[in-house]
Amino acid sequence: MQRKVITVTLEPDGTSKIDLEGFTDNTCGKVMDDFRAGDRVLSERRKPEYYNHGHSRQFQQGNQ
Amino acid sequence: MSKFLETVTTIRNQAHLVAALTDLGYKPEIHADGAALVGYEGRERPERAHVIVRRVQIGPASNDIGFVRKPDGTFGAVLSEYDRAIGFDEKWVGRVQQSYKERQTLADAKAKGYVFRGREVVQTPEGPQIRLQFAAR
Repeated sequence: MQRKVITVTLEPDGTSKIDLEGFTDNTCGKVMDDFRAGDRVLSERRKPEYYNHGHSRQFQQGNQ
Repeated sequence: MSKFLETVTTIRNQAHLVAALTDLGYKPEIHADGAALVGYEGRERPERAHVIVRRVQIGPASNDIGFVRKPDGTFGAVLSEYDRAIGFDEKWVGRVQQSYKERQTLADAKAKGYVFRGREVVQTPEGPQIRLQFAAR
């Protein structure tokens, strides 16, 4: 089973970066919310692992 | 799936704010109903705040710095023009937010069952960057 790691990087300007690794299930959104703690989102992106677990294929099929 | 998120810290929790200011070397006062900020000449100013760093901790010609609780529950900093000019500006508030977010993250993660794996401080030209790592059970 892959390790699920959360890295929170706190910048001196008051912004933070939350990086989730090894999450291949649907808990990703809840974990992100736990660490975001209601803070305003500046940017969000999915990492390559997201597309390596069938999401990309499903998206393509949805457009056929 | 894995994700990456960038956020800006909002100060909501008074206890974490007081702890953050203490971590930065200040001795903040807490005023449940708010108290007047005092100016450099020793007179009360019209601004009131709920968490106050008194001017003696800032500089000889400084005014008090306050954090006022807004109607939406968030805290905002009250900084005089003079104190902004000597470095108690948005950059300083950023350091308070950074310290606050560390306190909040460690407390929330513990309460929610995440396992703390470590803390690393990286010096950058902008100031210290703090990295916290956790594992999900």
